Amino acid sequence: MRPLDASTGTNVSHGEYSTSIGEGTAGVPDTAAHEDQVRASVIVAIFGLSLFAIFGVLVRGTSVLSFQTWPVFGIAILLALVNVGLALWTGWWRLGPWVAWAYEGFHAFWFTVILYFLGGLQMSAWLPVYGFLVMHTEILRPDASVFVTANLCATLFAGLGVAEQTGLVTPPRVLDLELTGGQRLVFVGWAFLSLNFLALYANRYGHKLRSLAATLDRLVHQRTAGLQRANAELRQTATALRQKQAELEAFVYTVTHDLKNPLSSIVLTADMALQRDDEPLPPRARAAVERIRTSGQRSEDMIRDLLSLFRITSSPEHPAEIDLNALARQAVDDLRPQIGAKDARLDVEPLPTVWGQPRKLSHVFANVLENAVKYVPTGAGRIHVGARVENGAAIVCVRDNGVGIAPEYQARIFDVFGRVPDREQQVDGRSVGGSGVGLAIAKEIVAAHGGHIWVESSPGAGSAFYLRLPRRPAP
Amino acid sequence: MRSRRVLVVDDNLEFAEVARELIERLEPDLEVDVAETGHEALALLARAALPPLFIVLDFRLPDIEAPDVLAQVRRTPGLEGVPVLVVSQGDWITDRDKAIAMGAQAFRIKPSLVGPLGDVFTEFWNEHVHTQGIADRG
Repeated sequence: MRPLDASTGTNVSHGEYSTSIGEGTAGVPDTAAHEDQVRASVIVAIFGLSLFAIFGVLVRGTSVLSFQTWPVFGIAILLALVNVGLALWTGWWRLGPWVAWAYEGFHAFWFTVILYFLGGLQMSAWLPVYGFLVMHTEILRPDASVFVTANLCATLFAGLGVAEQTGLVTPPRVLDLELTGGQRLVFVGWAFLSLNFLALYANRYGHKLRSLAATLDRLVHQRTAGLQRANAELRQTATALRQKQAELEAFVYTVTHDLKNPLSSIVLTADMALQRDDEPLPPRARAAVERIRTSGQRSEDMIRDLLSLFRITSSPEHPAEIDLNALARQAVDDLRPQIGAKDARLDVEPLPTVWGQPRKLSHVFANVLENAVKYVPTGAGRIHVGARVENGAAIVCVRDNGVGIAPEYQARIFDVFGRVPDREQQVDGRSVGGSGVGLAIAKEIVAAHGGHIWVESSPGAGSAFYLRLPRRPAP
Repeated sequence: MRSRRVLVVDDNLEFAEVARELIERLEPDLEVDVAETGHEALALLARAALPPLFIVLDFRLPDIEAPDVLAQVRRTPGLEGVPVLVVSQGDWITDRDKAIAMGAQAFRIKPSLVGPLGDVFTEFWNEHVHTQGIADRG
């Protein structure tokens, strides 16, 4: 059944299935809709011709091939072929509303006429079957075309009834039944009622389907738009991150070359002055130059450690399962000279495995251990490394009997350049140098692992550094 | 006949001065020329009658990148085999790779103490300059 845009009457709505509402597909052929149209006309053709053949044999007692019936049958075949042809044609050329009207009219016309000539007005009993077969293909159409076609068909039927009543047409003789006027009215009425009921059903059901489809369509659009937005944002973030990384690299590069350069000149020049044995400096000048060298070196260390903070925390690394025992062994090996110089005793308990980035965590471990070695007194140093597993996390504890840290500095030591003043942490009567970056790096790395680092300490009673690290990858 | 001159290319004149002093300690009759920029270094090399004994080249120069200076040196007839020590403030693997790819014999971080810096020069002298001299004589 070919539709007409009910609101404007100007648009052949091939392909105007409601799934494409709001998509602006006007003028774009919809192959699915066209296929439906062709299928409908083929179904009707087969159905009509089969009815004709069956009724021809069963009801009228003649073979379809007999002389009396074949002209009618031939006309029926011709009409069916024209109908299918029209369906194909309108789909192919999309020639405008009149083609759709012609199709609708023809469709209704030939089927009604065939039904009538087969069995008279009482054949209206078959109209719902025809309607059912055809209308399901029209169900998604967003207009009233099903009503148009249904009533066109019923009106034709009524016209034949009137023509019969007035003697213009001789009804086909079926079982020698002669219909009365009232019976004619009943059959014509049935044609109107049943077809309109079906059209109503198709339209209502179609409406429901259409709104469902529209809702789905809207939802899909929303979700797609949302996803696209999220994707775009992600892409932007990734680009920004890469840019930041590049900027950071450039910054680190500049700092390394340009900031360190004059500083190392200071240190180098001071050192050179101290090394000239042929022209020794007077004692007070020598002490002054030594101080210049020392603070220059300290600044250099700070820059170096700051750079390693940037480098270590920003270098990408694949996480893996890490055996803390191996990490501890490595750290102890690297620190052997310092441990030996202090004659410190170091005990390492069996340690669990953790999940994380090996190089970064080994840096943390080395740093905490190095601190412990640095702040224990020579000859009496005791360092103990232990661990326990708690709530799926490993808690590693590095405990020393060093100088300890006063409570007011315990938070600051994890900040960049945060240090305990030299006079408050003299080891063996001397102050211990440091750039104040090591623990900041450690904190950064541990936090990036979703872990935590903290210290328990009091001056003179040693320090215990705790590391809580995940044992499994974060879900 | 080998030159007894060494070329130090660095815009950091304090470093160049210390380098001069340390290099002159390597052997008694060595003389050090200092160029502050890449262009100056290339001009100096072009003017010299004999190629220098070796070149100390800072990676970061104000005008031309050290690898470009190095490439030009390697293209110049007579300078293809001059040992070049590239020094830098930072340990950048890409810098190191570039320097080595362009034909530097060694890449070292500049130590900021005289002792270690002297060691860098001595090591380079022993590995790349002194042996070459022996090979030349042999």
